[in-house]
Amino acid sequence: MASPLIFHYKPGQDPVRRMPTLIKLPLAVAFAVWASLCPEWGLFPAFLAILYAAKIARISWISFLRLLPPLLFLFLVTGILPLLQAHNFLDVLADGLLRTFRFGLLLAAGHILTTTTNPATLAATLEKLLTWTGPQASRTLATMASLALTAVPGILDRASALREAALLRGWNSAKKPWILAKIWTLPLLRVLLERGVWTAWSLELRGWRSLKK
Amino acid sequence: MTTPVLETVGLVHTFDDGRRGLDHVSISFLPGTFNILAGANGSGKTLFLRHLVGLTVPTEGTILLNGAPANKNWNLARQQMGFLFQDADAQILEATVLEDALFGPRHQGIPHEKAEKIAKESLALCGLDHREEDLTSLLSGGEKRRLNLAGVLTLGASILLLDEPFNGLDQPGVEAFLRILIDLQRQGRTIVLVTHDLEKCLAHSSSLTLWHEGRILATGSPDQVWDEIPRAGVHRPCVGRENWKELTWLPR
Repeated sequence: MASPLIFHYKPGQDPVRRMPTLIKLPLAVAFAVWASLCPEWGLFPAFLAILYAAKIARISWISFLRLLPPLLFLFLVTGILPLLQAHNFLDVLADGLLRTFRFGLLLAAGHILTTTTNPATLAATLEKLLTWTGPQASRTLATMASLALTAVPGILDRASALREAALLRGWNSAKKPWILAKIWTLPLLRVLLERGVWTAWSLELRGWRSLKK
Repeated sequence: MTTPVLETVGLVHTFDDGRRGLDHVSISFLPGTFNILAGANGSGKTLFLRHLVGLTVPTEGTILLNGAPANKNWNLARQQMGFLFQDADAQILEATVLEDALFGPRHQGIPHEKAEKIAKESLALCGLDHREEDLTSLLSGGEKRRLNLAGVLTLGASILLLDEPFNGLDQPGVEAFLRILIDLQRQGRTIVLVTHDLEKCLAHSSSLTLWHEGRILATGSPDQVWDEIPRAGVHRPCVGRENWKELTWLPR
């Protein structure tokens, strides 16, 4: 296809995929905490860990490039816009870069986790890990996670298809890039809501009563 | 001898993991013909259509449009080739029917009055003229399909590439869509249609191409390739080879 998918589960037999989700999920959470809060030197081993995991899980390097747009946006917000009012440009720029890098590691870890783990298994494991919060809370959290995990790939797919449809019908991406915002907003919101409604119906049909339990 | 309107020469697509999505596909389509591509899921039919309109770049091979490489100017090539996705919703870009049909002409820089005329003509051709002001979200599955078709017709496409257009359509939906396709073919347009449902439209085909694992298993008139149909992972309709011209959902 045009570009490799991100946040999509792809079955396989490598060590990352074979690792029990009950171990993989806490590891991912620990990684997220480390990548978010570690001192600057700690980002290097975190980066190496991502490279190593991606290599043994055989995840296409090109797929990581699709994480760039949100990162560039984040860098614009945290690194470039504050420059307008900053006195120390280099510090602000470095701070923006650091935040973007940390967020990039989180996205990359999420990409590896969702590519190597079946969404249903992931949601079930999350529920299992959160049983201490009580059945209602753990089920709700697992449901939300499941919804997010299934909705994100669907939304990305639809966004990509809409972009292609516009290209095929004469839209010039270089001249009028803002048209994308217009054609994406309503359909993508609709996909998100539809996914939510279908998941809710599916849960109700399988015996979950949100108002009673 | 008639020159093909669309031709691929040795088209190869290799995925990142080394698998071949398309394996040296060479095929040509003559103008004004109705061509059916059939094969099992994952045999490369959709990937092939994406290559034809430049949404995917081939690893090797050439796509010739009216004898010239299509990749010289994809914008021009895409005006001549209208591509309908499998998912009708994914191709609807605006909130109302008329606005959606206007998307193409507007982005070609056609003045509003002329663009509206083109859009209205395309909608009328696809039987949607009575729904111009309606919200696209209120259309039925068959109407969404026809809106997709109207959208690509506004660009003046002479070749229509259709990816499983009958999926999820009921009898009236298939019938209405098929009638439009046959009319468009009679007007001289070339149809390239991917489908598993041979019983719905085989009678109208000029050629049937069977796909298997990224390769062309057989191509020719339906009676020529009849015996190969099951090998391509496609259900062979329960009629004899000599009766393939009965295979249509249009009433006799």
